[in-house]
Amino acid sequence: MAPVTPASPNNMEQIVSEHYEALYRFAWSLSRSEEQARDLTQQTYLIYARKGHTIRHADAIKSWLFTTLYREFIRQAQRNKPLEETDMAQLEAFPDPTLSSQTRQLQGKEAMEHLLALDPVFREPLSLFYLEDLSYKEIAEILNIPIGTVMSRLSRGKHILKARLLENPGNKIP
Amino acid sequence: MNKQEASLLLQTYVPGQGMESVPGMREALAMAEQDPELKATMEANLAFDASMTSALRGIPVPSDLQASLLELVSAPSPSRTVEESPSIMGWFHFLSLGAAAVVTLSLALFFTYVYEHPTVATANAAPMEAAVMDPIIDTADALFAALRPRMRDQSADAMRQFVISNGGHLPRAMPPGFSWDASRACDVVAVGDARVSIICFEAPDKSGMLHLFIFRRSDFPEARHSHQPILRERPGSCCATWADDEGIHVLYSEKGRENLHQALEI
Repeated sequence: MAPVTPASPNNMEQIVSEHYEALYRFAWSLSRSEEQARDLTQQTYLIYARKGHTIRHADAIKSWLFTTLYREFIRQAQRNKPLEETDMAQLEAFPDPTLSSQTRQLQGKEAMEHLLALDPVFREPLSLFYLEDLSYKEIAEILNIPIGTVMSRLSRGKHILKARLLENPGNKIP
Repeated sequence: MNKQEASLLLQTYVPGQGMESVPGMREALAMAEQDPELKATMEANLAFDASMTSALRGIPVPSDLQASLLELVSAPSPSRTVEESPSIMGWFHFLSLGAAAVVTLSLALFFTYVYEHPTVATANAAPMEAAVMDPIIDTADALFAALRPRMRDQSADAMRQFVISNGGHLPRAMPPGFSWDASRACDVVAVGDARVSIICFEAPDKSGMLHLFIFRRSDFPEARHSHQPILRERPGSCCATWADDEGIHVLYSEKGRENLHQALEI
């Protein structure tokens, strides 16, 4: 796909279509609420519409969007905006994933439950890592933490996830 | 590099991201080529990642979200107001200063007309500060109110390294009642061009948490603070402020003055 000119109105549709799903899923993993995830996603694109022209390189758009969304989430949390309880209705509607590999079977709902149960210190980098294939460097920039800290938290978070999944005999761990 | 070290490193390996340049990764990959157990560990981790990715990307996205986003950003006058993310320096906004002035004036009136003056028995205790506006204390109050340290439950070495690597400052002399073994969280926050270090630690008697905010003296050359700790009380917390040649310190206690006395041995 051709590089996108940052914030060009003609390309806003492309930027929305390319990133809105991943942004929404990241927002949902942070807030555990459909309503707040929608709000965060909308806020992010509104800010982009106003400030996207400051992005110099099209390659930086994805990181910029995720960083902005994360900062909005933090800002709302710091304003003591109460986090919604995990939207169990949406979790119940979670479709079983199509099994595309023989190496590992995970129930999507269980995977999300365990991820959501993690401390935010681990949940945030893991969400970015699994949902959007972001590099350690990009995750570090979005969360404003050193790369070494990203690697450490991903490693520890995965260790905790695997241990919790092991407690459920229905899951097979490689 | 031994096998265990290689195994830990390989669990962080992600192909296609240039991770071969991570120190030790090439050696660990080479070891995995020769060691079937290491190779199996690495492949199991990659398989786990692939499964988690597949599972989590199944989070349902509202079917109307894309259309609503396009409508929102293409509207000539968006119906929603973008709420700007205020920087920390926003705390110095006029309205925040006005609110701080009301609070400190109230405290001044309280300590003047309501607070019982110390008896002889407490004459040697750290003095209570007459409420004054102080940008250092205002900033520390704001940071304390929004406290959410990024690094938690790590070793003392990791926390020290985190503070230093993020441009923070660690004074040569920490409070007498402070122990790195009792530290539980830390962070470094940008305030304009300055960096404020934050260390959260347990009180010596483990009855509560204390939160130390360290400002570099050189970042605030005009600030004037006593070398002796001065205590302030406010609803929900109290704090002590003091300075040395390197920094200005603000120590908050969630459990009252007693923990400050313990930590500062005053």
